Amino acid sequence: MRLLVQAACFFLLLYGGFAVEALAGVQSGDKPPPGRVELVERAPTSTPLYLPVTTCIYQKKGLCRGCSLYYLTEALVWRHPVERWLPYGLVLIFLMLLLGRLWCGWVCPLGFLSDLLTRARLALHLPQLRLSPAVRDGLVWTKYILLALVLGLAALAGWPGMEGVRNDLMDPFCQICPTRVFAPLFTFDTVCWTNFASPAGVVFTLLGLLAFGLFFGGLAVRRFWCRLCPIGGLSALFNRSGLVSLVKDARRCTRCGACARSCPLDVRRVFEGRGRKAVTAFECHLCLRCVEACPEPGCLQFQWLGKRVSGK
Amino acid sequence: MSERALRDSCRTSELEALDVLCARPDRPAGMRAFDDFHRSGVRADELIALQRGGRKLVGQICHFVPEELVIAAGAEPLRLDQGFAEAVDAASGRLPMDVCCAVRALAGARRAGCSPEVDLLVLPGTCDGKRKLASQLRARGEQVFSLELPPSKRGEMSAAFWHAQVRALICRLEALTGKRISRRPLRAAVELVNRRAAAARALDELRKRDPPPLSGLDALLVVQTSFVADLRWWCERCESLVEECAERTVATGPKARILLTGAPVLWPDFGLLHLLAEAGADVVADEICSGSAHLVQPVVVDEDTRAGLVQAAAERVFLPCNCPCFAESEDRLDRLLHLAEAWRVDGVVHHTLRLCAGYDMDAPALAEAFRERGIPWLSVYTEFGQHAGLRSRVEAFVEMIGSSARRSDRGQE
Repeated sequence: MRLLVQAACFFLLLYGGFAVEALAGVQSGDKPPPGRVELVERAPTSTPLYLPVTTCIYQKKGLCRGCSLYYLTEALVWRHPVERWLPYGLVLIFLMLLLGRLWCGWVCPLGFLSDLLTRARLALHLPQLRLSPAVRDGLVWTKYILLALVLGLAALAGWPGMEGVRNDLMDPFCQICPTRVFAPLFTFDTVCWTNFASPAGVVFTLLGLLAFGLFFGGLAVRRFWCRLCPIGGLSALFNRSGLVSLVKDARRCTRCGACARSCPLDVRRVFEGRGRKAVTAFECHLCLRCVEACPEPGCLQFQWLGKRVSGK
Repeated sequence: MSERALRDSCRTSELEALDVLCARPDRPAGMRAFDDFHRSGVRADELIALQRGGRKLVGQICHFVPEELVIAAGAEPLRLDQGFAEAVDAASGRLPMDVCCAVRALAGARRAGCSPEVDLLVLPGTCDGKRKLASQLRARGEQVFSLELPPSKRGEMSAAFWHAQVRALICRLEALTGKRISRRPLRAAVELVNRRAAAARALDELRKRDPPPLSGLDALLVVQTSFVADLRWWCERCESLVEECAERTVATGPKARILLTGAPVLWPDFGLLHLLAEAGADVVADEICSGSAHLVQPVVVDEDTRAGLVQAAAERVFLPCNCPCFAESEDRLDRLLHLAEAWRVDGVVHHTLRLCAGYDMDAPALAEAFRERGIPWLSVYTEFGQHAGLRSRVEAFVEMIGSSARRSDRGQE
């Protein structure tokens, strides 16, 4: 079922913009940023939405304008006044509070592609690569380091007198994000893969290639890119708000480990939680595979706004 | 006693135990198959025939060998835990006196040949007794694989250790049969083990009823028959027993519903359960390693790859196991509290085989937790075949429960 939802979201987010345009007759998405653009604010897309998933500003006629991280970058680079950034900022916080990382598990187009990589591997019955605990736990911090770097660079680029580097630094994460390659590609557009116009551009292009390669680490390690993704890092901050929650009745748990084994992100909290009720982890994408795998009736369930949604 | 005489006397005591069991009133008709299985001794001949046909027999003590792997390698898995009091004496002179009767019985039975000849015996390192016994048996020319366990179940280091052990076991099994344990046969074996788990779980669920449709004695015999029986045969018999019991209504229930936990109670030494039954109580749930606890665990397969299947099988036998040879006792308490609640038990009987330090050390804290919740607790110590001295304590315990408010509360539900 999750795969269906993911596929639906994938098509909606990637091609929805075309539909909106056709239906409403708006010609808003005509002028997407063609690769490295001149120093202007980017043209609007079909809807002025930003979502906490990989919806890409570089995509022609995207249904949404960009991702949650791009929203922050934009506000910092262009030094938007409070009344301009605050309202939608609150909307984003609301969205992330409401659904936590369900966004990552069920909506994100890049997450969907990652899961397709896993499916491809399983079709060949090839084993997965499990990262060693040290590597796995270390990688968790990558997304926050990236997040800090990206926001720091964006703030730097927006500083008065920094116009010289603004063009290079105005969307540092976009420059390496695999979505910047995929989203245009899936909408029949191949611009903006490379940028050798400036030294910074060369560096970013190379880093981008590296990141694009890393995305295919998903063939061996489940949801590999998601372990690095700062957009997910932003949502993660809201994952344990309590509105979305994995709840475990530790007494019914036999410690059989089915939850830990089935977790695409190797989250251990659900398995190890003893005497704990809420076992949601920051890393958890709420894909609910653990709930599905748990053989003990009534042991694990997913609660949304305090109500049971899933679980035997 | 000569080996021959020992074999005969073990067989006699098994038949006697069977007679006592069969004499009990109001048993489901489906139990017939299990009684006959033990009475006829047909399985012993079957195993010899299998072996002549080139099939390898892989015996194990305890339940740490994932049978999926043995089956996938094309061999026949057998669990050889037995509770023959006669075999305990046969080990005298070979083993020190302060080794528990389970290890002594095992050593005696292997020596006298009252446990089937196998091509490979897997001995888990659950305690020093079993660990050291491995080399004794090897010296006698037996093929023994020592399956070591980490001292704790927690942490990923323990898991890594365990998986390394299972990999070594796989190599040994593959060398034994000359057949690689590949994905397809493993997948089929997993399905068979899951069928067993589903049947055992269904039987366990039925015992939640009040009164239960079959006695704890019968349930334990069914479970322990799975140790040595052909798995498909057992699944069929157990499934039809479940069907029968689902329809079955029993007029009068036991005076007390008991949760049995602690050291293994092993066929044919069901004396403790008989004492309880004679006092009017019945075991409706158990948390003993020779009971349904590990049998009901399904293999939860996450990835249909060889590695994924092996991992699922390895973790099935290891992670949910509450053997006191592991450092942590909390899991067992959680499990017991859940069983006590879900199976609506009136009291807990904690069984320790004398000289087993693990169970002995666990007991006080568990007892305390149950007393706090107002659930009666009885700790008993036994050795194979020696229960007579417990009679008055067991009777007093059941009497106490029978007259307590707790029982009458439940009667009014």
